Amino acid sequence: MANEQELRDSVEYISASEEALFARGLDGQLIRATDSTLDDLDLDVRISIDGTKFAVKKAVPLRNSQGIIIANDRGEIIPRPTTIYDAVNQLYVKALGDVNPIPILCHREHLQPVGVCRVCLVEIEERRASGRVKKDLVSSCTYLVKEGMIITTSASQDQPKTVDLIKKSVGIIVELLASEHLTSQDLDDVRNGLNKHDPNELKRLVSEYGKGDKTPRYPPSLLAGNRGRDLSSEIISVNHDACILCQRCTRACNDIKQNDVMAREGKGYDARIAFDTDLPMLESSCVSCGECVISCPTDALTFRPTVVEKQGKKILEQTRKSSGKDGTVVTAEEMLEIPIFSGIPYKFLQFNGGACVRRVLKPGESLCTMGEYGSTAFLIQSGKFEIVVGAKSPNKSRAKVSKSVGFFRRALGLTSSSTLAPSLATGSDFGMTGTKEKLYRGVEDVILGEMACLNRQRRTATVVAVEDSEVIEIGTNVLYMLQRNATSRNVLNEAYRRHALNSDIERLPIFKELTPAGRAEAARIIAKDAELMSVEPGQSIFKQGEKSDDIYLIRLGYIKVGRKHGTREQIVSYVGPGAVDGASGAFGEIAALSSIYGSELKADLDQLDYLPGVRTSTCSALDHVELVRIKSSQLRQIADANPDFKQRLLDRARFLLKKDTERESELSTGKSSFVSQGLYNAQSLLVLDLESCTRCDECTKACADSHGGETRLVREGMRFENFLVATSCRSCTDPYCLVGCPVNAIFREGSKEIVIEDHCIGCGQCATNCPYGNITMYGHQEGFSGEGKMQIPLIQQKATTCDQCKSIGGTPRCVYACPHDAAFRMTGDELKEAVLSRKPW
Amino acid sequence: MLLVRKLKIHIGPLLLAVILVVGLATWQLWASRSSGTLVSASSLPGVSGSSLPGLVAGSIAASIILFELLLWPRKRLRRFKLFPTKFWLSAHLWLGLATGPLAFIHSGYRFGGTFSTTLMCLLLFVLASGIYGWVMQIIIPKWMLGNLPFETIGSQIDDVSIQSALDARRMLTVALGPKPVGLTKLANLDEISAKMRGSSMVRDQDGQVSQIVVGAIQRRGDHRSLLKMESAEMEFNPLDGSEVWRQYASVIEPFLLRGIPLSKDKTNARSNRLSPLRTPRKANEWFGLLRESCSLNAGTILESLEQLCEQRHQFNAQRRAQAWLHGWIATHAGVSVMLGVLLITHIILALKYV
Ligand code: SF4
Ligand code: SF4
Ligand code: SF4
Ligand code: FES
Repeated sequence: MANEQELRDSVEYISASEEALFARGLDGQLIRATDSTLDDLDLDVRISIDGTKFAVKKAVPLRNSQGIIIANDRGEIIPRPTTIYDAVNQLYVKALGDVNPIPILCHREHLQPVGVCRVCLVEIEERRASGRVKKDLVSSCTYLVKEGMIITTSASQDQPKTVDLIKKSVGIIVELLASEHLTSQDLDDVRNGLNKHDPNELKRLVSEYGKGDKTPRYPPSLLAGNRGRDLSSEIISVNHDACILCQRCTRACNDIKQNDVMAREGKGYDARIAFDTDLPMLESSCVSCGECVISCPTDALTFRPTVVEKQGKKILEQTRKSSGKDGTVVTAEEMLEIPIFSGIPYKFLQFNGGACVRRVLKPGESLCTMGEYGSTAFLIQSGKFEIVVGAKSPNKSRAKVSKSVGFFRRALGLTSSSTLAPSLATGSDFGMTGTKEKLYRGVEDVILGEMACLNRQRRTATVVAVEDSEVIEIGTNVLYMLQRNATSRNVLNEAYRRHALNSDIERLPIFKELTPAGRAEAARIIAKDAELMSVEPGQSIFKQGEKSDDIYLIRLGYIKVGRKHGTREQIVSYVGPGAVDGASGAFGEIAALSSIYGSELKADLDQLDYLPGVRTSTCSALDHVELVRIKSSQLRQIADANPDFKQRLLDRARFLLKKDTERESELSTGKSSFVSQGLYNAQSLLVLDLESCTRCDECTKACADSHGGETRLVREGMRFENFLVATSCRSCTDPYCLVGCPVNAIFREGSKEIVIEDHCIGCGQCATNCPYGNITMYGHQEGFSGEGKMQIPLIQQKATTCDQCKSIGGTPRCVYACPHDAAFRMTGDELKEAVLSRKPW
Repeated sequence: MLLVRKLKIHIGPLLLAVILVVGLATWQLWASRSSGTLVSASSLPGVSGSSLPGLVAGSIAASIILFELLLWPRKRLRRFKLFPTKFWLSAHLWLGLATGPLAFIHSGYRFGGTFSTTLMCLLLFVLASGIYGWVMQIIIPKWMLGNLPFETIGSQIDDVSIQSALDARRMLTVALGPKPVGLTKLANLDEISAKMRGSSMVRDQDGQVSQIVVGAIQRRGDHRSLLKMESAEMEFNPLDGSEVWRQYASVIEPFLLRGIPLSKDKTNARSNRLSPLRTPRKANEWFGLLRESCSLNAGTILESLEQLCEQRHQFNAQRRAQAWLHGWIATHAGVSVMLGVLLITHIILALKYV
């Protein structure tokens, strides 16, 4: 730590022009070791870019690879300094189709900048400590904006000389790279005009900035063309000759997927990417997720052609098999023609061939049905859709409440305890604020149904075409890709604000008694400044005793509310998204309301020893949580204009304080293991009553016998009082496993069960994500590796999880086969009830 | 409450069993009364398998016995939905119990000749073993629930034990440095641990690659580790280190890996039966002494090791409990099959000589 600090301190004393030579980041990378403060988020820096004067903030919130703002352990936004590239983005990229004029190669918005390629050159003019004004060419992806800085990019209209200098310099850099890393075939391609969708970014830069006919102008090193290939992996080919060491792959593998397989090995011309301790890829711990390939800007990492073909076929088969997906496949090339997809890597679309489908709908046909889980979203190409509450669909809704079983089955105890999962308010995904209004969506809305996909909840309305319409159906993995790029992310966020935020805010209990018009107005005021935030598991959102007064609304995930008594913290409750148990999904109200009306609430606060505007408990994320942060000052603004509303706020605060007084007396210890075991999030636990279970393993055998010899449950797990919560999928309300599958092979379709399709590439991301170890990787032989006598069986790992026997008719065989009536499927709350009432049913 | 739930499953077969027994006994009583043949309880003339109620009772008992035998194929056909198994077992229990009285009704409350006496004895044995098993299955799970919190899947005990030993080695290496040379050799677990970790290139015995695995190879058993690695990050007196390693290598690990073997397992049976850790009480005393001989900061590590030994004790107890829990089934099933064969012979003979 001391070294880090020293490094930071020393950076302050190095003048900016020397900095490029000496600055080293904490991982030995060429980045500035500059910290930002929270104040920098609000601090304006005035700069000029290509003659346009404007102000940018000194720092911007740090975002994860999905573009969601992340918070630190204290729940505060983490600031990161604004770079020149960020500032140029703000100026030039405002709508879909706009492009940042700065060329980039090693940088991508969703990756940490490392500044190794230097093609993102811009010219800056700034005043140095000596008072002299100095011009410099700097790499914009790592260089920070400073007050008064004058920036010229290659798009400048009135600095032709500078533009020429920048272009020439970039040209030299890319030609140097080209002579070392492009083949003569590649160079021929460049000379003869590139294919529009050629995924090799270096070739594109050479064709744009290089000297065309004369390339390569520089002689390659002796090592060029002799660095070798690694063809050991069955999925990925590695061509070290084509590798420009931009480190996009290593950052993708280590930072995004956190697989920690890749690194840089060797020095100078001999430097290369390496897997683990420079092992052949096959022998390394690589899980073949493909993230490095889709991040690689050259042909250094590519999918094997047979894999692309095989995967494409499987996905297509799956797409066709899924009901309703009767459309035509949209190819990678076609997708890239659509502006919103232009930032998605070609290799990603190619690997997911068959996953995007064009669907044509006649008036009256439905696109998706209320109550169903969905793993796809729809990009509107033409036509108009009505958002309806209820299943106005020709295909009957599959999301049934399975408690409605026949008398005979009930008499025999053949009921299953699955119920309709708690979900978001009706129509909220689509921006419905009341159930009576008629709501239409068209091309201007860009996308439909994305919220169910992103928040992994049921669809809150049915979408029906009202005229001949066309959409492109895309999977969750494509949506995730869209979020990585600021422009397409903004389009999605805008859709979110339009579709969901207003109705989320209206759900706040403090607005309950307002007139519909009043509610809508209040929501409008608040939505303007409300912030969407993401908090990682274990991070606290605020701490007991802290002074802060925002109200939070949970969109996704669960938080726990803990209160310290002396040195011991007890869990008071856990809060999930709105509508769970009829709750509001809001928290932090007491501090917010008491900070506005401290004097009016003094007596009530004193009774509990609470201070106005001070947090009365610690709230931290139990899993991946998405929140809407609302400023209390906005509530005051609404209340100032509406005395009735002020009274309601006071009533609400008194109600919450009274509840707190009561709650103090009913703290139970069992709650903590209920929360720590994540049982609150479970819609279908496999629990074994250990008093009756004779450990005969019939449940496990039944599961294995019914699923080709592979058991999807392990009779082992955490205990909750007399029950064993077996290791078997719980159909979580918010399933963590669904996040990040690179090929969208794991999803929920229709009902609550998690399904994994055959096109799973076995990367294990879902297994890593599931906090309960409920996903198992099994190997399946898929042909052979090698030829002739050298053929070796090829085992493809695939993720497997319990789908509650959905694929074989629906009755969980584990429960069915238990001879001792010891196995049950129940929700977390039912289990709690069973334990509390000491009756295991 | 538990009773109410259980009643739901058991009430049907229980009622049926009672109705059958009481009904047929009454019928037979009534039939013998009306024919005036029931004279004294010792001889019960006229009450026999050949009377109509007797014949009916015999046929029902025989059908029930055959039905009882079907529980085995039903369990094998787990993947089919042939009515939930709990109802089969409940019927197996209550109707099975009814076969005793029904057989007696059938035989006119006599044992009869050698053949029928053998048959009757076998039936009684089957019933007795079944009732014994039933009682075991009620008592032992409750005992296990209360006494074996570290319980694992029976067949996984060895794997979990190996994993514990590997965890312990890792913890000691991190905390104390590598095992000093010259101490008792540790068992070679490299191969097993490599197998547990899995590999993308599976090799056969000759070292040739026999399979290539693509994708993530999930490690199993990691989540069960009892050890908190933080405990290993503490400072440690190097002198204590070699003592702990010595005790680990010579006493703790052999016990962790093999526990107290069941009698059939002869490997190191003797040395482990003499292990100072052989009972929880002895282990407690032994760790107490070790703790005294080390300095204070050895506490956390010794606690972790003691916990692993406690886990191993519980595994040993689990093995014994499971032997009680399931051991009777082989006898019950074997004798039931014999009973079935003799029963069929009995039916054939009876039909032949009617
Ligand atoms: S395929 Fe995935 S795990 Fe393997 S090196 Fe690439 S990013 Fe890392
Ligand atoms: S696999 Fe895991 S995370 Fe996914 S739904 Fe099941 S229990 Fe939840
Ligand atoms: S289903 Fe799981 S293992 Fe398969 S590709 Fe998706 S994330 Fe990877
Ligand atoms: S893109 Fe900025 S240095 Fe590579």
